[in-house]
Amino acid sequence: MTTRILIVDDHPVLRSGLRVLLAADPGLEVVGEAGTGEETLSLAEELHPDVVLLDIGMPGESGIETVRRLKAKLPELKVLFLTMHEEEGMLLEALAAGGDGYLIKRADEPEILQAIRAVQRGDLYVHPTMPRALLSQSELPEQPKEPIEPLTPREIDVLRLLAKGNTNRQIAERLTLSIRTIESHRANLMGKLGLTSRVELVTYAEERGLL
Amino acid sequence: MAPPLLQPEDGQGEVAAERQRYFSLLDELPLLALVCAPDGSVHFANRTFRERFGTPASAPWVPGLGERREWVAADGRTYQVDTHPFSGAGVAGLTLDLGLDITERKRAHEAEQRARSTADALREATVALTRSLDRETVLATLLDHLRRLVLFDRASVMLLEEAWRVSVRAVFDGNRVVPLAPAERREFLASDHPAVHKILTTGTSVVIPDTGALPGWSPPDGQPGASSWLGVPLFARGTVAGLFALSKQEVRYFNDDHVRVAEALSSQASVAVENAILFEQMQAATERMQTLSRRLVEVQENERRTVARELHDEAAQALVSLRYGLQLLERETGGEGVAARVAELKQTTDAVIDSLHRLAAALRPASLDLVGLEAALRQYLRSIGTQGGLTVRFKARGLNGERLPAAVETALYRVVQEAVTNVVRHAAATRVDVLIERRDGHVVAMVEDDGKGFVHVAAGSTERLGLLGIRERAEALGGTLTIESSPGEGTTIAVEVPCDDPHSDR
Repeated sequence: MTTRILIVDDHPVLRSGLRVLLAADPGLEVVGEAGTGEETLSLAEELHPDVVLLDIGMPGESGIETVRRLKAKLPELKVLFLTMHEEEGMLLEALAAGGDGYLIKRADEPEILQAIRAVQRGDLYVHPTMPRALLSQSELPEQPKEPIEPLTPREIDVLRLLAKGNTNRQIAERLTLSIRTIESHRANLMGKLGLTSRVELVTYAEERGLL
Repeated sequence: MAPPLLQPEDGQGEVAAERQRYFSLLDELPLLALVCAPDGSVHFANRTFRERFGTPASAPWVPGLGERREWVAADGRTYQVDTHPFSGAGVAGLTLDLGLDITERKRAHEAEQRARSTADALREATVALTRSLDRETVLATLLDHLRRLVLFDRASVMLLEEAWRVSVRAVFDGNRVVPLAPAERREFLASDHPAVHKILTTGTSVVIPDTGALPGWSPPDGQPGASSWLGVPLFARGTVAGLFALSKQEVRYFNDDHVRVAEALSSQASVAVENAILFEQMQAATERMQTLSRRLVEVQENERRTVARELHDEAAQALVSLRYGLQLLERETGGEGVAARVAELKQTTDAVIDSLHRLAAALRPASLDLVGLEAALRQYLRSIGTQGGLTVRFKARGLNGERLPAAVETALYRVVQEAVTNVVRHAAATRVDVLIERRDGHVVAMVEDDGKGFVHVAAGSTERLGLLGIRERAEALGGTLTIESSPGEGTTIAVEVPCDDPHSDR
């Protein structure tokens, strides 16, 4: 049984190159090509491919929009992104929108075949250089730190305002205290919590429900 | 006729003669002299008095011993009246009231007072006028101070605009001075109003004593109730810039004094008006410059987007197609040497694709358009973090996966990029934190490092230019830039821009 493929890309040259490359594999059949999201939707409904190879950056609707609409209409359909963008933000967005795989265009033919088979089986396929980004993206939660000694109410005020993106001077004005006082509150509370930076502080405040 | 008590013939001998001489003496005095009883009835009026006012039955003022008062007589002259005890008439309690004509002295004194208060008012007006650069405020101040010098009923300030149009900029409506907003300004052609036209063309004041006697008169500022009218030219940079018009309900009210005072104030105001006009022009120029700079930023951003797309979508895609061809060639070719050569070509192609990709992302990351600010920043900051030497932390709060207006996303991306570039280049920092926080109709982008900090940034340095760029981007969106830094304490850069509806310009 052959796997029926729909190629979606706004570059005809690229589509034909890919078609020739895939046609060489007896297990694959390229059943159609589309250049826009609209075309993709109507062709997918008409041709019932197994896997759609989908570009992201297309004029008009992006591939990410297209996958949402495809999956809404044809939930069984597998969508493998084939894109120039080696960007983790794009990867996350693509998977969140319903993509089954994420492949970059300079992947070699064996990898393309491997990816197609993987998504057809129902697995998630991500190009091997990308998961590193995925991992660090999730920013493995650090153990919430217990304060070495409890914060004073004033320090909690300052913590909260710092976490909301206020500068020292803005906090000083808000609490009608001097900047020096705010600086010393800040140093003290960071010391007590074992924090070293603004982002850590925001994360801490968030975890403790202080925001 | 004198009362019987003081009839000269009433005395006897020496006393009578003495009394006679005394009354003759009073008659000769160039003063008013009255001898009065305590009840105010007049016993004697001297000749000066009689000649001017006849002989009254009682004193026209209330006499009081040892007092001095002013009496304004029916002829309009003012007398200073002193009351002395009068003895020798054989009647107790009589007083002698002597009145000195002080009319001239009083006039001189009043004139001096007026001159002084005019000078004061002019000086205060000058001070007040130089306090503001806003044209409408200057003109309103002018009317306010003029009101202290000339008791007009209504007034207005008009300025000469382009093409001999005249616009009313401020009015005194009888109660207060109202500066007019552009939409409220009455406008007319100078040539449609002869008096205004004359003032503007000749630079001289015009007094119309009775507007009712002037056929076809209408108040140029549209305010009713002008029976007499005074228009005074207002100069700026040596030419007539406008006029102010005063009106009064009574006819023939304005005299030479009024004209003189109004002209004096006008000349005091000229520098202030001039400054205000210059300031207005400067403000307009600044606004034009800001618009241009916003436009420039947009154009630049569009250009970058286009070039990035060209590189990424066109050039790189063509290379990918080429690569597919090479892959086919690799598979189909028999010779080992050729396969190795094709593999090399594939590597070269990859390298070119890679560099195009990086170039495009540096110009404008596609994720900024396709996914959003948070993803684009994460990507950018990761690339900074992997260059080593700097721990980069990033957090975005309150975005909830929603997109911000495109202009805001672009601006904040560039702000963070610029600020982080400064940190990498100049701060000698070990860490930099980037925080994006959306709340209460605002988005804050904050970049905080632990570097060497600064007090002043050298003019012309790239760091200064970076900060200028950040400020421009923030201000173009109606936002603010806050920089907090001190040597050894690191630097915090916060940009806050208003952002009500995330979908407003999408």
